[in-house]
Amino acid sequence: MTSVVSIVFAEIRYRLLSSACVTVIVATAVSAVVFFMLLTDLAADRTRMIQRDIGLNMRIIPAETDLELYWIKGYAEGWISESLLEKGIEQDVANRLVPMLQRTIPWGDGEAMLTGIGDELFARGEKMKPVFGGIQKEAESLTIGAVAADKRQLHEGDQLKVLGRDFTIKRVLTATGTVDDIRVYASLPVVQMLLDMPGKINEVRALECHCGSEIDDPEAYIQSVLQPLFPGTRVIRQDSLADARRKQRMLAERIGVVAAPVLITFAALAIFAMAFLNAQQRQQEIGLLAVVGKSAWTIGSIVWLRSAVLGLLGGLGGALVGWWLVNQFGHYFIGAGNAKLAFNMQSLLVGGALGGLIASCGAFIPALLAARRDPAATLRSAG
Amino acid sequence: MIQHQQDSIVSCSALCKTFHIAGDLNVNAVNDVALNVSEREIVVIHGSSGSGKTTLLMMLAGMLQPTSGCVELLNKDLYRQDSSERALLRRKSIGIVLPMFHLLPYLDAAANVALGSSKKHARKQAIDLLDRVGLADRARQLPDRMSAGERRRLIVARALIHDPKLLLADEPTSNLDDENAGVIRTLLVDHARQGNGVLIVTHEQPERFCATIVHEMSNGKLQSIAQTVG
Repeated sequence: MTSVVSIVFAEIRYRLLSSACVTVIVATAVSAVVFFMLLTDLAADRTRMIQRDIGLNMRIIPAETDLELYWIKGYAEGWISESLLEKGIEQDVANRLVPMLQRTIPWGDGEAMLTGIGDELFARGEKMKPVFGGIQKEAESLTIGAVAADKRQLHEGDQLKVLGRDFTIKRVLTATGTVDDIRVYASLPVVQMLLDMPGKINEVRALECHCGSEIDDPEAYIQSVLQPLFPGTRVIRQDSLADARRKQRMLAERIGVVAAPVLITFAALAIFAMAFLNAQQRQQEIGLLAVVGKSAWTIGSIVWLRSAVLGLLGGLGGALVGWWLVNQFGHYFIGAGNAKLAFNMQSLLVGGALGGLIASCGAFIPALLAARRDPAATLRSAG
Repeated sequence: MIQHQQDSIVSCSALCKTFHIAGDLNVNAVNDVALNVSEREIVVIHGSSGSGKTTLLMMLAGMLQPTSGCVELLNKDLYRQDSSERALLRRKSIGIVLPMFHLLPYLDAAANVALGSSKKHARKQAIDLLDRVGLADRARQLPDRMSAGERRRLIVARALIHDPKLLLADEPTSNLDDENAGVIRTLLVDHARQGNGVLIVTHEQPERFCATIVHEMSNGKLQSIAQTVG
């Protein structure tokens, strides 16, 4: 018995040029789709990094806070329980939750903003570089903003007393041009102890997650998710930051959403045309297969399988090319100079499956037509 | 109604095929034909080009739906079966030799012959058969590297590989030299002697095929039953 598979592979070898054309069409489409997909991933990573650099755009503060005073003083007068964070992390609208406790304290002949920073909490158990990674967390250490240090001629390594307790300045931050320049940072437990507020915080800073992108009113949605988890709080959302980020992300996603189906449809149509021409070119063979008693199903399978095999090959090749392209040229699009994506088997499998699917869809109708063709008419027209 | 003869393999009665050419123009390619091929018979249908021989053969092979009439193969009404059942009958019981060099150009000679069989060891069987038709040394050759006579022998070998009960041969020796034509005629005669039926349509001299029965076909009709030659 000459199997369907051996017929398919022999025909592919024999008509190498047309086979290569099908493979190249699929590879082109798949590489473009993979390129867009990986570029979107890379852009999302880059966006996350930019956002992290810009800062956290959500603040969860006590509900009774007078916002006028909050913006004048830079912190909320009331407090919320630190224990809320245990439940508060179980949602997907806010990530990178940083508990903080801030108060203005007398310092020398002036005041300073004493700021306790707790450990950053990540949603879904993710591990990322913390936003406040530069703040020293040791019990006897302080990190001081540039203006606060400069005003008092303090340097790294200097000893000083804060609220009667001795500390060493581990780090003086570079100037940021914000209120952070007058802060005196310490670990949250230390500040809670200094202020005699154990287990209390007055702010949680967080980064808005992707979830806000598909809904009309992200602010209301975020409030509705966070309120039950943080009872007795209100959420301040820095709209300009969040919206700019959301719009940028939606634009990137929209390009992906439009480009991918267009490319896939184009490839499927091209394969349809090539498979149709291939079936026309092979009328005599199709008639012959009917003569030797091959069923319509077998004949259809031969036409279809050829495209599916070539599609699979094109898909695998396309995935590799797409990955290579995004690593070579991705930085031109997203401005991340050294951004690289490690290749993973999943991309290869997705590419192969996508290529096989495109080719299978494209070849389905020509295969059906070939299978249903009248063998006698086929032989007459081919003869 | 078909009158069954003893050992009948294929028979047809009142068989007609009309092709609609254009508008109201119809061509009766086969017109009211009755025919029987029994075991050990070599039936030759002789006629000129366009007489309807190939159309009749296609209908007997289950590859062309008749306009009217009926074809029985091994006591089964061929056109009451669906197309997949007819394909199965062809695969099991019919060998067809076509007039053109219908071969898959990308399969070697042995694979082309094995195409006619659904058995596991078809390639070995094909090589044995190629030996019988004098092509043992060409088993791995692609058809386009073979001569017309070799390709014709290949097609006959493919039609015989599954030892079909009915062999339908359309111009099996046309355009062949005497030596190649002789080899093919011997194969067809041997196949009939093994208890099978052979139907040959040709415009060549029927005597050459050791025919049991010779029919003359003209304008779609089997006009005369010639004679039993031997």
